[in-house]
Amino acid sequence: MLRKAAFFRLERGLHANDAWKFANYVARNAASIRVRATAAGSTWVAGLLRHGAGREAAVLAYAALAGFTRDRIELLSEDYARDEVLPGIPSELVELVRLAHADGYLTVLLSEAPRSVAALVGDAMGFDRVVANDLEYDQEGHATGQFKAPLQGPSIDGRWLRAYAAEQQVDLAASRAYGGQRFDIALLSAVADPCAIDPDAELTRVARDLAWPIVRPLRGVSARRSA
Amino acid sequence: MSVLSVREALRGKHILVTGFTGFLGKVFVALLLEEVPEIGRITLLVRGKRAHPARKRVQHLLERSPGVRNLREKHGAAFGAFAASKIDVVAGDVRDPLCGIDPRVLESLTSSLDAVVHVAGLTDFAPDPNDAIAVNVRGALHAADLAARTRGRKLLHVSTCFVAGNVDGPVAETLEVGLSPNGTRFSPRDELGSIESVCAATSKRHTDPADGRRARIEAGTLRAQAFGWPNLYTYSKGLAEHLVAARGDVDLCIVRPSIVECAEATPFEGWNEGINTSGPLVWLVGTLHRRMPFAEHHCFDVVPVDAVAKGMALSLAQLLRAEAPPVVQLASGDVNPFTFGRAVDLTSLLRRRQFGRSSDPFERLVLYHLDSVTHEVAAAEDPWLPAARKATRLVRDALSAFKPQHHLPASIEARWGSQLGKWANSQARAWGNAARSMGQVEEMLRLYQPFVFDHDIRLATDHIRHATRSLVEEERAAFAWTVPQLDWRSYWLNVQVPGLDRWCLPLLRGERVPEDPPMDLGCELAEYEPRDDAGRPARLAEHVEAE
Repeated sequence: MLRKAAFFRLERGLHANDAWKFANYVARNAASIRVRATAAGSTWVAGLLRHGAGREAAVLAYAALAGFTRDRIELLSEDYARDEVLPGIPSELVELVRLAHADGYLTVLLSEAPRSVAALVGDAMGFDRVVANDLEYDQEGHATGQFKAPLQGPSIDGRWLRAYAAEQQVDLAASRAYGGQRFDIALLSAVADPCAIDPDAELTRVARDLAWPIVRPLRGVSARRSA
Repeated sequence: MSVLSVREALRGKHILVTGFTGFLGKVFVALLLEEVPEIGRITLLVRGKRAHPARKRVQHLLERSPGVRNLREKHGAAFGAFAASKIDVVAGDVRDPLCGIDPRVLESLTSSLDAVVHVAGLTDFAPDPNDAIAVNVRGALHAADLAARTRGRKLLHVSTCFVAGNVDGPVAETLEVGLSPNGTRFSPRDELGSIESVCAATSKRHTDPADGRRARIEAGTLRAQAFGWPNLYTYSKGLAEHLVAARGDVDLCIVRPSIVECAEATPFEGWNEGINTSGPLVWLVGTLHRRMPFAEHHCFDVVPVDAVAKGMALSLAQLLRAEAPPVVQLASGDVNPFTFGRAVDLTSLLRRRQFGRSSDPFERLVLYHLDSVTHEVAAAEDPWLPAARKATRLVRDALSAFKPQHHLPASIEARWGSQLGKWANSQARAWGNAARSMGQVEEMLRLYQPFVFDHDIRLATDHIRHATRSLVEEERAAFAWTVPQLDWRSYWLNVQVPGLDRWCLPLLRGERVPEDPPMDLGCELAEYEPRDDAGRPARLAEHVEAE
């Protein structure tokens, strides 16, 4: 028997940050000051490319972490999730996740970030599933700067979504999804109840055209709902 | 493979343990008391000190040492009676023949002993060779003499993995008597005579005791290095192994622990005593000094003290069953290596978190951003350490010299002079303490250099892993050697560094580490006493050692 699911995008959905911000956080906290300068610089360039070349920007951002130790990346993931991500998710959205869970939805967190961050956020918020990327490490525990295939995001691939739904026995026609970028259009189009959160210009246009609800929680203050 | 049960092997047995007052000795005895209730008796050989006879020293430790806290908590008010039912004390000194045990006691004691576990030793890396020979070499021989007189004739001798000397690569669990680490053939007996002669001759040439000590250390160190041992500690432990193994009159098992550090679980998570190898590393990370003189990829062969105690218990059980291999190494690097690079990185990350939450603006705004990195320069050649110490002293001197009435305009001096003066004084003391600690750490790092920089060894641990595989299922939780599965990140962040912060780093700062609130045992431990012809305990003069 198929079940309903609620998909939540972490980056530019639940949280205002893009995925490259985590790479930047790690880079700025490298052990060596020289590496901080060079790696952080790469991630900022990636940030600039973000809107034009999303996938390439992600690859560039995380390539800057080549050579970082697994210990450093995973411990900084804990700090980043605890100090930057979780406090930055508006209580209104936290409540949305809780309600979805209470209403019997399989709650799925979708993230482009490494699993070391997304899993912590997912656990803290009570998500049933977390879909994220896995950084590749060599035998000595140093990041290679690449993700293991398949790379998730920034666009949600429609074929991947249907395959995931089949694997998790999810009925997309009974499901809901929350996202905030043009990269989420495929995800939002595939479900019965899409909702745009702080959408970018292109998603705002599509949401209005298709009469999708738009939520604009005030980050850090009480939120207002608008349609 | 035959099945091994530690509890069955030790059931009803009487063992004598030296070195109970030390870190490892306490944990080992506490482990036996907790996990082997079937053991017959444990006799603790302890030196008496002036005003602290042997029995009273043991009593004091049982009442308040954190090393047996788990037993006090488990048994509560009944702990005293339990301890008295399992432990007795014999006054003695391993430096003396037959461990200095009163001859009137010796025969009755040795006739019931099944094994001697010799843990006592001097762990100072640069000791006076007179002391190192007396304790580590003669002490081991005296323990072996004692063991040879017991009914069991078994000796578990605790040595150190670093008898391997100045080598790199794999180190097997073997001992070839008369072959030194650098391949020099030697006679252990002759060498003992030689080093004692050298010490005597050196002492004669110096009337000043301090000069004599320095000269002996220098001469002894040169001698050690000529054989391939980096220092007097490893030389004395190595020589002891050769001498004890050369005898054929005891069943011998030599246990070689690696770097013994904070307890994983027993007596409780994080417990440590004294200043071990990790202490200076952890202290240095989190100061302004960022470049750590450690070889990033070299193995930092740490083992938790309770794991070592379990390894000793397994080896003792095998020894009692006449199944023990001659050498058992208790180390981590062969199957679960941890590196200095990782240790520095993890410590840095932990300190960073602590600094981020600190109320001290210097820690929050400055130290937070200064991660430590390994610096491929040996401590002896590192110019930054002495420079950092000098800089710290300069700041201390400047703060000490600050006089508000001389250095501030009158209006400011009137308003803030007193507060600033007090602040400068307290900061001067803090920077002075830091400079002192830095000097100590610098000295320690030079002594540790062979182990943290010059050489990278991988100590084989096949024997303990084999013993663990043969252990009965129901005893695995208590005695299995689980170091191969140790999660280094979790251990380092949650056990080792917090443990060092609590139990070791205060010592580096010149502070005391508190004991637990004393528990009244409610009874006195028995001390081995000579008996008269009728078998009644005779009064035993306390073995008192002049300090």
